[in-house]
Amino acid sequence: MLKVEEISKKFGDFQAISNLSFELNVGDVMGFLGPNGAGKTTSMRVITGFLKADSGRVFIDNIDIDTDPIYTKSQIGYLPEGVPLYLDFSPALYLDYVCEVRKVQNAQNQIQKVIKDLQLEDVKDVPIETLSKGFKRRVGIAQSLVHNPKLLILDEPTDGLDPLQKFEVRKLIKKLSKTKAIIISTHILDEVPEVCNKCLIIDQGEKKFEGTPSKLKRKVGKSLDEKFRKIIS
Amino acid sequence: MLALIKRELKLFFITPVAYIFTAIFIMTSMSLTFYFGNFFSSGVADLTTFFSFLPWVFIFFIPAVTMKSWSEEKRLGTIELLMTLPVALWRVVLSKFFATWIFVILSIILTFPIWITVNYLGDPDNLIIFGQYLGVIIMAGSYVSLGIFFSSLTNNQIISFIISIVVSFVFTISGFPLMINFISQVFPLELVELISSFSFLTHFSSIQTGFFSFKGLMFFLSFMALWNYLTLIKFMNRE
Repeated sequence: MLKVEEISKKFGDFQAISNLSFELNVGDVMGFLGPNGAGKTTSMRVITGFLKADSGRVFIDNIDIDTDPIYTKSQIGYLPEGVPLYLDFSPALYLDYVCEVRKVQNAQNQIQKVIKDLQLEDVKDVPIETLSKGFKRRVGIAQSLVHNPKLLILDEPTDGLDPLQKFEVRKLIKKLSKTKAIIISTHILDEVPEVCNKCLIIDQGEKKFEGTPSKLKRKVGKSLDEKFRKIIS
Repeated sequence: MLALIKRELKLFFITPVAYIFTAIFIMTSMSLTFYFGNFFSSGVADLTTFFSFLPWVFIFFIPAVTMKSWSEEKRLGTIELLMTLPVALWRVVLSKFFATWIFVILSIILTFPIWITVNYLGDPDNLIIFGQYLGVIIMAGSYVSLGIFFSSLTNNQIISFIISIVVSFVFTISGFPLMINFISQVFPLELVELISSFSFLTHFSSIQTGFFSFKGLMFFLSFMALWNYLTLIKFMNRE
């Protein structure tokens, strides 16, 4: 589904990503870990086509994102860092716009489905500006799901949610993983074994670990927090 | 692209800001015409005075409309959502331009009471007035394309607003006699002619008569194409 081949990206003298490669198939949920400034967001921006890599290639469904950006972008659902949203819109209006641009079939059904899945029924007609951080994040997740993408890229999807909402979102991710490839960038390490079956740690733009969460735990036999600190130190 | 244009227009009209901008535009252009243009005392049933003030109003009005176009997307981070949609970049750039232009056109159309007034008071040539309206609409597109480009350079609306005003002002007055006299003291004649040929006022003066000159029309269309292209290049080269 997703093949990232030796991508590198530099901002001036700062090497944000260095020869990063990995693959993801439908059914995979990959926890994308690393300290702040490790290159996670830049990697996700390159995969989504928001930024161009200096070298390397990204394939979605075996199609190079530079060859057919319209098709490859149509296969991606993306929740960017900080959950940017059009604050004057209501969730329903915003989702309607996303469906129209993405030419979603049965748009109203899809909108109703994500509104139900993300429990947005009570706030669907309220301006996004007035919503709490948790609701805004759920609207962000809803817009990434509404076109039923094959590849889902979520930058800290549970940040700002209360424990119950976190549980619901994790449950949703697990449910979605049957039909999608999912990348989750997170700082909550406990989340990794709970929802992910793959794990990739990067630091200073370089891959430090790739494997399953259990392999990561086995390798040191300590908690994920300790292992994470050891890998990046 | 239609969905993007609709979204842009909704963003304009979902808050009261657009209505306030339009009201200010109409009041300013009318006030200038009635109080400074001697509309009634001139005794002529036409709208030439009204149209002659519009480029000066556009210098302030259009940058106020365009300033948030890209700046706001950058500030909120929604540019990341916009650029990752399965839509060609040129469509995204043009959708912003067309939506803003449509908004400005609506504002221009809403000055129609002055047209009713002049028809009530006299017997103007409505075909010429129609031509003048079309000319003003085309010229407004040039100001819009310029303003949107400067909005794409920064995430600060105020900076975008100020730069757009300054550049719009320069393009407006570069053919003004005072300006020509001033620059002719500094630059050679060929350069002065070149600079004045880029003046909105020079090209607008022919349109103002209600008759389109091919040269004037081509100037404004090329101007719009150039600034939209520059905006496109800006995002194609994004880091």
